Formats: sequence, structure tokens, C-alpha cells
Amino acid sequence: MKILKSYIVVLITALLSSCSEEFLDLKPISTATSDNFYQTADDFKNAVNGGYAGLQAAGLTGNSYIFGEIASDNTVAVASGSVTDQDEFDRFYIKTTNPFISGRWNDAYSVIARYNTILDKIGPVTMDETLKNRYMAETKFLRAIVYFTLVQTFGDVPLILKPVATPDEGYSFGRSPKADVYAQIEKDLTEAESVLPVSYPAADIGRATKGAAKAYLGKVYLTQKKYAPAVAKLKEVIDLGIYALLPSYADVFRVANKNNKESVFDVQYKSGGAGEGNAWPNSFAPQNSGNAVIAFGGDGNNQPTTDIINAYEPGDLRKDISVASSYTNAAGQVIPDRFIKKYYDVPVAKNDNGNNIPLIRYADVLLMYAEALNEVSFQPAGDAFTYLNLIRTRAGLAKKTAAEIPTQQAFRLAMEQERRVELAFEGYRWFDLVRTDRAITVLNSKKDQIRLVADLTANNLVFPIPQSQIDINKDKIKQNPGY
Amino acid sequence: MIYFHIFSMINYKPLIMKKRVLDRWVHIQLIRLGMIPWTLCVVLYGLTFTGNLYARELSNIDKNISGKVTDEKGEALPGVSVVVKGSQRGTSTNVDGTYQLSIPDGSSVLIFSFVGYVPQEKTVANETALDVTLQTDTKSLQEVVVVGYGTQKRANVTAAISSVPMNEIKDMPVSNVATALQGKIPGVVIQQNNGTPGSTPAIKVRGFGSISAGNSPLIVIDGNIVNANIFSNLNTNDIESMDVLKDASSTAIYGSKGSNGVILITTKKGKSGKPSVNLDVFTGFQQVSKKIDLINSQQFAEFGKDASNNAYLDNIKGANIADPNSVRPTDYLRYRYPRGEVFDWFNFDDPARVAALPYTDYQNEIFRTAKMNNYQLSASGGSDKARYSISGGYLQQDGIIRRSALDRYTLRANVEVNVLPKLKIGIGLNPSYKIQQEVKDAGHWADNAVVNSALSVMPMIPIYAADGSYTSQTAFAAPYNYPGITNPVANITEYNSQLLTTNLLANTFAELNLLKDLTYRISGNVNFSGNRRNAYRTSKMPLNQILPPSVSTGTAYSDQGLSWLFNQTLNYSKSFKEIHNFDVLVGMESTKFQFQDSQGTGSSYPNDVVETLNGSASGTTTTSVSSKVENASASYFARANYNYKGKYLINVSVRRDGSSIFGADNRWGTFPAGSLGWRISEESFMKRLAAVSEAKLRVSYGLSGNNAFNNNYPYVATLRSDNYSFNNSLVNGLAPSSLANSQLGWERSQQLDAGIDLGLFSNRILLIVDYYQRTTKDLLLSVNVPTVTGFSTAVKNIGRMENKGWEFGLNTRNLTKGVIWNTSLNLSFNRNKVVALGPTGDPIRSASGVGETNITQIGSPIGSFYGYKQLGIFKDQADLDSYPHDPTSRPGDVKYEDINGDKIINANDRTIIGNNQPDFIYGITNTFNYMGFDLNIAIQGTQGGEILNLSRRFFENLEGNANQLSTVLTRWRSASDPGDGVTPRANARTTGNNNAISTRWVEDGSYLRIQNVSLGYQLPSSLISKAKLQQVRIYASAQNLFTFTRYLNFNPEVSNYEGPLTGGVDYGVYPLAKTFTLGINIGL
Repeated sequence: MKILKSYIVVLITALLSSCSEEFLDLKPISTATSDNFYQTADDFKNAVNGGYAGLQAAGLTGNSYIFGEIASDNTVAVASGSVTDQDEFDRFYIKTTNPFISGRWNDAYSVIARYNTILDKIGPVTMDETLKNRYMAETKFLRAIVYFTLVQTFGDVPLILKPVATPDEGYSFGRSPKADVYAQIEKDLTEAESVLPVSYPAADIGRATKGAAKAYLGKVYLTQKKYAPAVAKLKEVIDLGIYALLPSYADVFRVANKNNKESVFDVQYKSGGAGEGNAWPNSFAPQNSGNAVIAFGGDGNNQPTTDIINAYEPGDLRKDISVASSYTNAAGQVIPDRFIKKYYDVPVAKNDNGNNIPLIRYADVLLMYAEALNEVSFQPAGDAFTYLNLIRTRAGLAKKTAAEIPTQQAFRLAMEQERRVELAFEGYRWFDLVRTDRAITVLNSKKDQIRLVADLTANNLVFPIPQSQIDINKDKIKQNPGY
Repeated sequence: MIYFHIFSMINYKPLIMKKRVLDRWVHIQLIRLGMIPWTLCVVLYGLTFTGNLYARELSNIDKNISGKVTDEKGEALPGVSVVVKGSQRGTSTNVDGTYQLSIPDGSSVLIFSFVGYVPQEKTVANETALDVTLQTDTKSLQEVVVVGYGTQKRANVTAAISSVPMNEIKDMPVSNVATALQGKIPGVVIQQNNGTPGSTPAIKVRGFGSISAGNSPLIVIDGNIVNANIFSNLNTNDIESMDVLKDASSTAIYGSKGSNGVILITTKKGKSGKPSVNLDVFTGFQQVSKKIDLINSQQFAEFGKDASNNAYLDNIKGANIADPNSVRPTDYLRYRYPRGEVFDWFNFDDPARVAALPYTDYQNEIFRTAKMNNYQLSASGGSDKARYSISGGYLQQDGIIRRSALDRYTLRANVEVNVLPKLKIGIGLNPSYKIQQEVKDAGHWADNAVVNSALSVMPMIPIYAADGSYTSQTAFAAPYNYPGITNPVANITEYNSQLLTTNLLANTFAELNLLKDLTYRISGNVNFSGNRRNAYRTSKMPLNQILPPSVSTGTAYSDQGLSWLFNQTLNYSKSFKEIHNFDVLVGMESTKFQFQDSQGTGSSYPNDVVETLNGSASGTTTTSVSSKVENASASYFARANYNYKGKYLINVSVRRDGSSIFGADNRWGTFPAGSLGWRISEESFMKRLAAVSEAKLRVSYGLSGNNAFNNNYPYVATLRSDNYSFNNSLVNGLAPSSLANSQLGWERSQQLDAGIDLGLFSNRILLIVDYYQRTTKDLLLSVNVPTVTGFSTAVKNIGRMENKGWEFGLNTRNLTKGVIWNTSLNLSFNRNKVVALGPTGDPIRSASGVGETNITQIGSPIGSFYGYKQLGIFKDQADLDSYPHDPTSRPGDVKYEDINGDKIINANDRTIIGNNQPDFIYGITNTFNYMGFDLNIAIQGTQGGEILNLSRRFFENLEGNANQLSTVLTRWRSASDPGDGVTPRANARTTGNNNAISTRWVEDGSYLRIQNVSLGYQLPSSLISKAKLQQVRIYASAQNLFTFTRYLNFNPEVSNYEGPLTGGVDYGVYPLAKTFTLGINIGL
């Protein structure tokens, strides 16, 4: 009996002691965690690379044509029928639930969180100080351009500069005034500008440079109508002496010619099935074109309007490089469909093209410089003419003279026209019109042609705040007027 | 001569027929229905023996015995089986209840058995006449039910436990046993949301328990917690019993795993005695249960033209309907419609051409009559020392969508050995192997999905081009910018995907009687599962907008799951003079699960000969990924039962669970429960109420938890790779992908259950009623957070939700002699309500496919549909001017209600527009037995649930570029022809926000289904005993015979985005089949 009792005791002990905390302490195997990351120089290299990758987010650059082109008089929405998400931009009845609206907001804050995390964690890390400073400068540059996108799109936006530690903290952020956001953008760019190198060795080409920071700063000043600082900053870009217009407009967009002398800052893409390809060439090719326009066919997005096709002056070399009005399909039928030709590659899979998306190229810098000069003071046949004519000459067009552009106002219109065709389909048109206070006038003058639902008003100059973000935080996040 | 009666349902008059005639009739019917020769062989073989019976002289006649069998009231019982124990010899009673049998001399034992009565054994001494009275079977309350880690007498159960009526599901020709449970158990919702052969239905016990943690009940087979796919591979005939634990007092012993209910399955075990061998075969065919009513080519021509013209008139100033295509602007090609410019026959303007338009019913092209065969052979037996049960099965089921098919091989072996007087050990093995030929059934046509493309493609588009290759709508689309809807037939034939699933469950146990009343049991199981999928899309496949040859692609996927479970229990069971009865259990359990997978893809195969990845062109896109996850749990538990004279019952239990899913701070949870029962019928004062044969009151309360979250490490902040390239060279990038929450812990639910079990008139009427109230709090939830955090969702414990309901189960034995007629009926009501949410109480809005479709808000059922309310259609300009509308609205567009009354229609006018949860669900099963015939009719349905039929955004978008439901024929055409007042005008460029999520897409999902009708005939033992057969039963069965519903799409049980937050959304799915089968059971 005694033996049996001890037997039972042993059993019960075994019963109750077979599990330990260690058994339950499991960590992810196939995923890195924040606990074991952000510790070494190598970690930050990956984190900063991930920061650049954030720019590829559809809401920031992939769908930028929705905001910059479809909303303007340049292009129309895809013929997607029952889905009116793009048509709402085209004709200005944008619903607060529009997925492109929430896409831009959500993607922007998602990558801002990456940048804030890097800047928050890199401080104490032991690593090469020069590299550390460069990583911080690159990150600030990236954060600035994302905030610039946000503030242009939505006006006042929450300004978040530290990682948000808990979900509940997310409820404490309201919309900061535009001026505060711009001040932070200028601060980040100014800090980045002072640290970033003028150029990189081959393996790092595509990272933010001093020139990119200066060019963005110039654009930010110009957007705020700070013309004198814009002139100064853009002149610094020119004076760096490393950028130039390529002789041929077509060469600027050729995949084989990426990161050329005209490229100031691009979002980098690479084809080849690694998930780093650019969708634009397929996205913009006509629907049902089969392989006739591009391999794997097109989605018919961002279709040029009659208005922009007519906007090219006779003889403008850029027209045939940028747009087409028809194609011949495999069955030999000529299909009268308009599409953008500017971005083209031969993909090995759909949407896997090697084309970079230019965010600032040198032609833009020169045009902005000319515009800023004109705003500071109109000078017949002054420097502003020189830079405008550099662009026109390359396009095979005659130089503009002071006789043709006799006033400051006339020069503004000439700039508007030149920017429209030079930078067509690069995502600037709508924001250019807003910046120059011309959006309402220009679009309303074509109301029927571009099928506006109603005359544009000042309310339309910023887009609505995503409904989902208002619904979740009603007290802090308020809608823009008119939506 | 023996006469047989056939019970006629229709005129209720017995029909008398000679046995010979009957045999011949059965024979002819089988040939007429003639399925596969195999079955016929078996049947013919049986019939040949029947013939031989008459031809041959019976040998070894030692003695004749005769007698009469009656019921308790002295009335004759016909059709009672009388068998000599230990032999095949036997007969059955005739119409006046008498029998005659020759038996071996000396003392023999006769077994008298009949459905609905307790079998009786009688020893024959010297008498030549033996009359027997059979007692009505009241075993439903004597039976033993399986409970967590043990069994209990039904009479002593104080919890809400439902036993599955196995006899009602035995003939259902289902490839998944869960399907057969539909409508059989009060409080259990089985939803067949997909008709793919072998697919597993969704199972919910007492409503939604959780928002985002799992909702599926725990599956326990023979005491082993297993994953749901083992349940789905189980053969109905291998199951001895199934019990569903519904309330907290019964599930709390499973702690965190039991909060969504527990299904306990006991498989058949060998019994000591004569071996028994059984063969079960059925064969049959399946057809699609419903086709969708679409428009034809001529109707399409009129409609398509109308849509283009309306868009043109809307958008172009000075447009005239007569303008030729060449005049219509090219910046929107959908202003144009076919007018013979490319293909002469493709002309919507020419009445003769329209009349001659070709027409293909694409539903006929993708669906087929599909065969289904099932074979199962089992053997069991043993001695006092060792018992065995072995069964092997093969199921072959073609899908009703062409090419889809399932082949399933299963084996099950259970062996138990008493190695020592006090030590019993056992082992069970359950390997299975499945081959599934997959078709891409659900999804968008652009992804080459079959159902959606068959319903969307214009009916005049041909399947093949002139050269015999596949064509598609793409070939006709470019001049009008129609969508390039893929070819439904090619989508089936040019995509080859096979999924091979191997599963091996092995379990073992040892049971040691330490003392007389003390038992120690140790058991464990290991489950290995492996999936392998090879998929290949050939170069002949037309893609969205691309005609063949297209780029071929291949995928190779494999995964491997390994889980083990180990538990030990000590059980002390003691009865003091049958007055004080104790049962105490303590135990521990631990589990671990590991899963890893890998996938490779290749493309640009030089030809379609080699489909594996090595056939893909070198240097083309080939990606490979792999990942690995694991989780673990550890638990301790205890339970005590006490009853006083079987009259006052008490049960308490507690379980403490630890899970690796949570961070160290909140890893452990404790889940107690208790219940009380009072068998009033045992009280002396109740004995006077003779009508009441059983009455028990039960009440239980308890806590259970849930951690079945779809993430193994939700508390950790994780990173994901987001790569980039510099100067055309790839670089690695990483970015945060989730927020950390070290506080994450158990979701808990409290459940109160009160029930009554009532048996009347010797239990001829059995009523079980339960009321329950279940509150789930600290919901483990992936909630929306402000995206300024950098994340759109975060995992939190928030909120509280309530499920309340009534359950009724009624079993009656309506007729107990002659014709036996039993009815079982169940009816369940569940009301779900969200009581609290998050710190601010903000609703959770959820998206499914097309933006926000569902909302979960305080005071409403979880996952209610969310959108606009359609008031009607704007009849004319005056109507449009008189009510707020979208800026793009025109007459003929949808009129939405201005909910907030601000004279503007915008996102703030969205509201709750429906709910997927039914008001009640029900099932009624009637079984009839007469003279060896049995008839089973099961009806099942749900009432009051709604469906958000988003498929109609394809088939009723009124754009004029894809096929449509016939509802578009009653669309708005003009102020004078306003149509049905619900369907808007045709328009190639939709205006008025017509296709927003609204009540226009919300449909009544109520249905009543004739779920199963089966007719069986048990060949009398007198005929088959000479063939050394124990029993032969043949049956014919129809499953899903008809569904009464107003729902427009295929299946009212659909839910594409299964999960409570987005339940009830239909976005196109594999339809259900109706199945007709013939089967035979042979017992040796």
C-alpha cells in the first residue's frame, strides 16, 4: 500500500510539472521583430532602403496620376463603368469614401512611421558618424517629400514626427495648420541639404542628393510663393553643374537610360520578377490592345484628353514621344484609342517594367527657376526667357521672344503651357494649376469639354479627408469644407 | 408463402404483393436507375442467393419453432427480425406478428429486434412456441454521452449537450460529414457556403462567439483534439456517436479552446464477440441545384445599345442617338456599340443580324452531371483481451463544375488490448490521402475565374475562334472598349491544378486502474499533414484582354504541418450505496503545432508539355518563398461531479491555460464553470404524474476563453521586407509591419444556460429546451486605428458582445407499431448584439472586396450590412428636382434616402441596411419504418437572414458590356416606361452612384430546403441468412432535392468573406449540387 501511495505521488507530480514557461515562449521564425532590429549599421541600411521603398506605395507615386493628371484637363478616367472612383476625380464629385483618397493618406502615414522610427532609433547606435548623419539626412529628405505630397493634397494634415507608440496615442493627433507642415518640410530639407552628398558611387545612385534636396526646397518655396528663396535655391541646383538637359526628349524616359544627367530625383524601379517593377507602362496602355502596344496588354488608365493633344504646338517633338491617338491591333483593325506612350518598356510579366518615376527632373528645375524669376520681376529677354527657351529648343520649337511674351502675366501663361507639355503625365498638372491659382479659371473654362459636374470652387483646391479617418477620430479630424 | 407489405405514403392503404414480384420490382428499378455495373453485380449476387433460397432444401433442420411478437399493449408487431444467436439463421414476423423458424436442436438463443424497441434475447429450451413482448426503447435517456475527457450517463448530464442522431444522417451521400449535420442539432449552424467537392462547411455553435478570434468549434475525436480537416475526412460510417457541447459548464474543461463549442466524435470500436464485416457502397450523380436567369443575345443587343446611347447623350452636348460610331468621340469608346464595322454579324442596329446573333448558354458549358461513388469496407471484432476495428474507404466525387473532382482514400484502425488485468492500451491510426482537381471557381473573371466569367461573358461571344483555338470577349471588345471577359470554358480546360493532401493521425493511450476506483490515463496523438499543389496555366488560355497564345505560368506549393498533443488524467469514481456518487478528474495537457510552407512559380514555358517548374524557361520570373510558424499551449484542469441518488446533480470544473500566442505578461488564463441539475421525475411526488416519464431541470454558468487568432505572434511588433533598387540593382529593405501589444490576452466568454429535459408518455415525446446567454468580453480583435500611427489596424482586447437564444429539440415517436413514424424537430433562435467596443465605442467598419460593406456597432448585430437605402428610381426630372441626389444623377438613376436630412446625399447617409444572421434556423426530420422499408425525409432552413449580393454589381451593373440578370429587362427606360421601380437605367458610364453599396443589393436569404429524402429496404434475414449475410439494405437517396428561396444567386448560404465582421457577402462562389444516389449496405 505504501509503495502504491508513493507511486501515485510520483504520478501526480509528473502530471503537474511537465510544462514550463519556456515551452510557451515562442518567437517569430520567419519574420524579423522590432525587438531584434534597429541595432546595427546594417539594420539601418535595411531600414533606410525600406524608407525609399515606401515611395513606391501606390498612394504616393503609383496612383499619382489620379491626383495630378486625371483631376486636371490632361487625362480622363479609365472606362471602368460602374466603378466611379477615378471618374470622381475627373469630374469633381469626389466622395469622401473614395479609395484613392484613403490610399494616399494611409500610404503616406505608413511610410512616415518608417521615417520617424529610423530617426528615433538611430541616435544611440554605434556606427560610422558620417554614415549615420547621411542616413538621417536621407530619411529627413524622404519625410519632407511625403509631407509635401500630403499638404498639397489635403491642406492641413496631422504632423507626426515621432513614432506613435500605442494605438491609443494615434487618437491624439489633429490636423496641424499648413504653415506648420511647410515649416517642418523646409526644416527637414534644409537639414538634409547640408549633409547629403552631391553624388554617390554607382551602387548608391538613386539615393537622395544635395541637388535633390535643393530642388525640392526650391519647389516648396515656389509653392508657398516665396519667390526670392526659390530663385536662390534653384540657382544653387543649376550651379552644382552636374545636371543637364539630354539632347533628345525621348532619351529622358528610356529605361536603358535611367538616372541620367537630367534626373534629379526618381523613384527607382527594376524589372525582372523581383516585385520591383513599375506598372505605369502597362497601366497606361489601351484596354483590349493585347500585345499590340505593350506585352501583356494595358489597363487604359490616364487616357489623354483631346485638349492636351491639341495643346502641343505644331512641330513639337514631344507630342509623338508622349501620346498616341490610335493603334493597330493583332487583327489588323485600327483602333482610335488615345494613350500615353511616354513610359514604355518590354516587360517579362505584366506591370513589371523598369521605368523610374521621375519626381524632379532638371527640366522641371529650369522651368521652376524661370517661373520664380518672372515672379520676382519680369524682365523682357531676361534669364527667365533663356531657361524657357532651353526647354523649347530641345522640343524642336522656336524660341519665345519678348515680343511674343510682353508682360509678366503673359510669361506666366507661357510657363503654364510649357510646363504642361514638357512635364505632361508626370503628375504635376493639377498641382501646378493650384499653385499658380489658375485651377478654377482654367478648368471652369473647359467645363463641358472635360465634363465637370459643376463649376469648381475654392473648396475643390484640396481633396477630402478620408471618411474612415474622420469616422474613427471624429473629435480631432475634421473634413475639408465642401465635402 | 410469406407476404410482404409495402407501405404506401399516398393513399395509406397497405398494398400486398408477392415476394417474388417485389424482388423483381426491386431488380427492375435498380436496373432502370442503373448506376454502375458494380452495384448491380452486388445486388444481383444478393438476388441470386435469394433465388437459391427457394431452390435449395434447407439442411440441418432439427426443430421448428413459432410464435407471436407483440408490443406492450399486446398488439401484433410485423417485420420484427428473429435471428438465432451466433448464426445467420433467421426470419421476420409477418403481418399478424407471427413467425416460424427452424433452429438447431438443443438450447438456442433467439434475438428479437425491431427499430424503436429494445432487442430481446430468449432462450429456447423444449418449447415449440415462443411469444415475445417487446418494450418500447427509451434508451435516449439511458444512453451514455461523451463529455470532455470522459463519458456521462445522459440522465446525469447537467449541461447543454446535444447528441447527433446518427441514424438520420447515415444515408446522406455527403463527402463531408459536417454537411449531414445541417439542421439536425439545435443551436448549431452549419453553412454550406461552397459546393466544391470535399469543401468544409462553416460550423457555428450558438452564434458568433468572437469577432476575429476563431468561431469554429473544437473538434475532439476519441479524446484527441484534432484540426477540422480530420473531421472533414471522416467517413460517416466510421462514427459511432457525435455529441455537441454547447454551454460553458461542458466546454470549460477545454478552457480556452472550448468557447465556440466542442464537437466530440467517437469512432467505432471493436466489440468482443463475433467479427462483423460491413460493406457500404453508394453511387449516384449530382447536378447544379440552380441556374441563374440571364438575358439572351437579342435582349443583350437591345440593352447594350441603350447603355451606350444613354452614356453618349449624357456626356456629349448635341449628341444624337442616330449618330454613327465614327462621330462619337474616341476619348470614351463605350459611347459606341457594335454596328457591323468589324464583324458583319455583330450589329445591334440591324434587326435581321440581331435575330441571327449566336447564343451560348455558358452555364451549360461549365456545369455537368457529375458522378459520385463511395465504397467502404469495415471489419471489427475481438475477444475479452483485445478488440479491433478497421475500415477503409474510397470516395470519388466529380464536381458539378466540369473537371473539378475529388478522390479520397481513408483508412482507420483502432486496436485495444488488455495487456494486464489492470492495464489497457490502445492505438489508433487514421491515414488519409486526397487528390483534388481544382478549378478556379470563385473570384473575378479577370483572374480567369470560372463562375464569374460564365455569368459575365456576353451570350453571343463564341467559345472558339475559326481556327479552333479559344477566343474570348477580348477579340470583339477593342472598338467599344468592352471588358476582356475571359473564356469560361478555357478557364476550366487550360488551367490544371491538383492539390494532394496527405494526413496521418496516430493516437495512443494507456489506462491503468491504480485502485478499484482510481484510473490513470495517458494519451497522446501526432498529426502530420502535407499539402502539395501543382498548378499550370497553359499558353492556350485567353487572359483578360489577351488572346492566346499567352504566357504560361506554373506554381508548385507545398506545406507541412505537424502537431502533437499529450495529456494525462487521473479519474476517481466512487459510488456509496448508489446514494452518493462521485466522479473526480484532474489532468494536464500540452500541445504544439508547427507549420511550414514553400512556393515556387515559373513562367514562359517553351511548350505545354512539361508543366512542372523545371519546364519553365530559364531566366524567366521564378520566385520562391518559404515560411515557418509555430504555437504551443499548456493546460491543467480538474472536474468534479456529484449526484445524490441520481436526483440532485452537481458539476464543477476549472481549467488553466497558457498559450504562446500571448506575451509573457498575459499568457495564462483560468476558466471555471459549474452546473446544477434536478431530476424532478425521480421525486416521489412526480410519480403520480404518470404521463411524465422524465423531467430534469438544469442550470449552468461558466467562463471560457479564446485564442484562435489568425496570427501566431500577435503581441510582437514585426517587420516585413520592402525591397528597393538603386541604379538597377536590388537592395534589401525592411519596414515595420505591425504594432506591438504586450498586454494582449485571452478573450473570455461567460455563459449562462438554463434548460429542461422532458420526456412524456414513456418518452414517446422528448422535449429539450435551453435558454442561454453568452457574453464575450475582451474581444481579441484586429481593430482599425487612426492610420497616422502608420498602421491601419492593431490587435487589441476590446469590447463586449452578447448572444442570447432559445433552443428547442423535440423528438416524437408518432406511430410505434405497424408503421413506425418518428419525428425530430429542432428550432433555434439566436440574437447577437455588440454591447461595447473600444475606448471610444467607435464602430468598426469592414471592407469586403469593394470598400466598406459591413459595420459592427454598439447595439446592433455584429457585421451588419452598411450602405445607402434605396427609395426607388428617379422617375423623371421633376422627381429628381424634388429630392436630394448625387451630383451626377439623372432620371432613371437610383434614389437614395437622405438619412440625416441635410439635403445632401453623401457618405454620412449610410446606415445599417441588413443583417446576415437569421431570426431562426430549423430542421425537421421524419423517419418511417415499415416491414423492412425505411423512409427518411429531412427539411432544413433558415429564416430572416439577409445577403449582400455583391455579385450583382457584375450581373446587374447595367453598363451594357457584360451579361446581366434578367432583372435588367424591367429597368427604367423612360419617364413613361419606368420599369420595376428598383432597377435603374442602362448606362455605359454609370451615374447617380447607382452601384454603391445599398439596399439594392441586399436580399432575403431565407430558405427552406428539402435536404434529404431517402428510401431504404432491409432485405429480410430469412432471405439473406442462407447467403451468410447478416444484413442487406438497399436505399435510394436524394440530397438538396429542392431549395425554396427568393435569393437570386446560386446559394443562399453563401459567404465569401467568411468571418463575422463581413459575413453574408456573396461575390460569386461554387454552387451547391443536388445529389441522387443508390446505395447498399451489406453486413457479413
